[in-house]
Amino acid sequence: MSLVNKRYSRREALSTGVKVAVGVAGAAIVGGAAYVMLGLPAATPQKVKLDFTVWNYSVETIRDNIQKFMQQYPNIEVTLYDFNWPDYPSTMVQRFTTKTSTDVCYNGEDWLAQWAEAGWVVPLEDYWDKYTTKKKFSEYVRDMVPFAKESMTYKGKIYGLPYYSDMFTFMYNEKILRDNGIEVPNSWEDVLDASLKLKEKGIRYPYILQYQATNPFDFYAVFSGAMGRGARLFDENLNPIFASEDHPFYEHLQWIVDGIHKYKIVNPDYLATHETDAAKKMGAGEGAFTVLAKYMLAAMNAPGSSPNAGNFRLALMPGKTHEAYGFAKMYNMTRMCVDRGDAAIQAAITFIEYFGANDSPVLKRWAVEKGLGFGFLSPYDDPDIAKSLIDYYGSGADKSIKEQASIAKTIPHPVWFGQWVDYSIKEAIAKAFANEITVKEAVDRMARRAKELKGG
Amino acid sequence: MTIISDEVKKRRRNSREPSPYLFILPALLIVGFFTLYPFFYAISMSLVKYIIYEPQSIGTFVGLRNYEGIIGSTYFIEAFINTLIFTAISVTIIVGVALALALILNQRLRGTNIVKAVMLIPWAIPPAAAGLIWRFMFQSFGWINKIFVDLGIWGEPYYFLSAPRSIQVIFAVVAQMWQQLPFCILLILAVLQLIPNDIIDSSELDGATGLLRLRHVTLPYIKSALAVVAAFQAILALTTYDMVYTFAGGTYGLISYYAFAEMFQWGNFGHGAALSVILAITTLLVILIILKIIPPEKLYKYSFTSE
Repeated sequence: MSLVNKRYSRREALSTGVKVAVGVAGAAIVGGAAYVMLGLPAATPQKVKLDFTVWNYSVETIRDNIQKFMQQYPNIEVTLYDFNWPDYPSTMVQRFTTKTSTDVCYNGEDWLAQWAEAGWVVPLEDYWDKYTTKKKFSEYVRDMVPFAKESMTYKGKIYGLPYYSDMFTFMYNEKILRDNGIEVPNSWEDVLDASLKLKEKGIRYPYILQYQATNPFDFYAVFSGAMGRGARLFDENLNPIFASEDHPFYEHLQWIVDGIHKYKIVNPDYLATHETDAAKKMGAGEGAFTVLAKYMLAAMNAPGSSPNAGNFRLALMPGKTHEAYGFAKMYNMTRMCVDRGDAAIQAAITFIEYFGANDSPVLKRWAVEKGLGFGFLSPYDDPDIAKSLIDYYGSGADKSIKEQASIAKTIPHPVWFGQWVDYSIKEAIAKAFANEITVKEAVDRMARRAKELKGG
Repeated sequence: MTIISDEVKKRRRNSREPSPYLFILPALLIVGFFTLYPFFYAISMSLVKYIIYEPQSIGTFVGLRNYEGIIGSTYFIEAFINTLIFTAISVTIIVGVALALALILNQRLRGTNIVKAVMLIPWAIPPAAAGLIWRFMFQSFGWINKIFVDLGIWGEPYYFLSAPRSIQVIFAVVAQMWQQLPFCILLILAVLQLIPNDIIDSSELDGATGLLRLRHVTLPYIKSALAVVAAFQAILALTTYDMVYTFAGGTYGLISYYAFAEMFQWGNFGHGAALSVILAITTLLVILIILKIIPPEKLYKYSFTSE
């Protein structure tokens, strides 16, 4: 055909191109003006896409929450990526270093410093009030539980809104104690005495210890017990202060080592005991005392979950100060999201507010349906949530949880903290528990390691 | 016998024909992209500072400082020794047990074909799953404890997974052995079946039976195959990650896990890359030692001529 065969000069080609471009632009202008003048409906704005990463706790609930969010905000499309909990931090490091699209992510107090210093997550407070929100950021901050707020703060900036907040708390089997005429322990000496009595009555290992060194939580299950004795790990300059034999952390580690080897009141398979295994042992009546994340109490008391369901209670952490370790996991916005521009930031903030606000339907759902803790004070006044606390945790739980929460503390988490904890749980403490080294050697090694890491 | 004349050889040497290079180019490209590039990238990363929480200094050339840092670190010596111990124990046990089982299966007893088929099952299971399976077996409520307690051999469960780590390494070897034995047995068995019957018969006539025949006839014949199995197992044990991770959660501190932790948990990619290079060099050394014992040309000759 002639059209195909015709040869065009460069001048002709350029001229044709310009004419086509002008024509298209003109048509667009005329068409747009016609829409406005005739009142025709505007074209649907393009959907803003968000990539959201979580660890895989109750993924179906998360999916359902996302569906509900997208129904309310049809212009935001959220894609969920869920990862195994113990592998979550390393998976996220891979994701961030390979610049895999991530806009909103779960983050934890133990990784916040590293991710913030790497520039992967941004302080939410720097962006919040510049965009459309239901409440100002300061209104949320005022309502935050102090240890939850501290957990989400790095170098004076608040990086997120809480996904959930919890404590590592002391739990006991009320029925076993009542049947054996034992009072609720107030100190770790009381726990030892009570355990020895129960051992005589046939409970082989009355104190159940979770210490599976793959679980990042396990350090806190031990350290929270030491916090009941008033333990702190570092001074304000992050120098280790726990290596002396009269330090509460040392005392508590020695208590556990004696419990395993000398008194044989602690389950010797602690290394194979995940928190769910600990809950099973307690449910089977194999133990009377344990320290676990508080949400496990809900699992242990869930009707029908075990022959002892409903018998478990929370008591203040034994020890002089009764403090416990509290923490918050949070929703963070990423630098990648910020780099995408205003539309993405607005979408991420809307999403985080829907999921993480103090009056969020998601917060309430986690609390009522799953018994998860929250990082705000006002939800305690919600009648549905207050009822669920009693339903999940047993009678009086609403008061005991609030009392423990009021004195729970978090600890500083510098960039090297994860590496230090990893070393501590996998090397030093694990060896001390196995009697391969003494507790003194373990704390000395941990202190030396902290100094090395702090020194860079 | 001279098959190729000197003239032909000379002509080939002087030839500028590019086709041989073109033929190997696709293979070279694949090997280069998937093997050499990552290796040299790891080497280059090990020579720069790459700490994720110090983004402003990423890429600064630091020479061998990552190697100095990692070798002088708290973990390194123990992780390195643990890796060598794990490798030595698993290679010795796996090769020994595989040889013993292959010799039994070579007796052509009734049912050996069924045994061979069933035996392959563990090999088909992914290493991560194998680690988990054995973790459950070794737990206080696992079947190992159940059998021994029910039979009254042990008064109460033995807490394998809480034992000192030097002992736990042996339990991890059991899991590794379970997974790797089928392949090793089949390989050794295949070579055993290549031994000509007339050699066996004549050795019997000479009075060599039992252990004597094993030592003087069978072992010399399968020596090269054993070396291949040992080399393969050594490489696997040195670089194992998934099986040991699921079995023990990295608590044995093997070098492979240490490299992963340095990179993805503690954010020091420079240290992680240095560890990976050290591990690669160690593995290469082991291969070279084995190739020194059994030269490649001998392996080649052995494989194709059964001599």
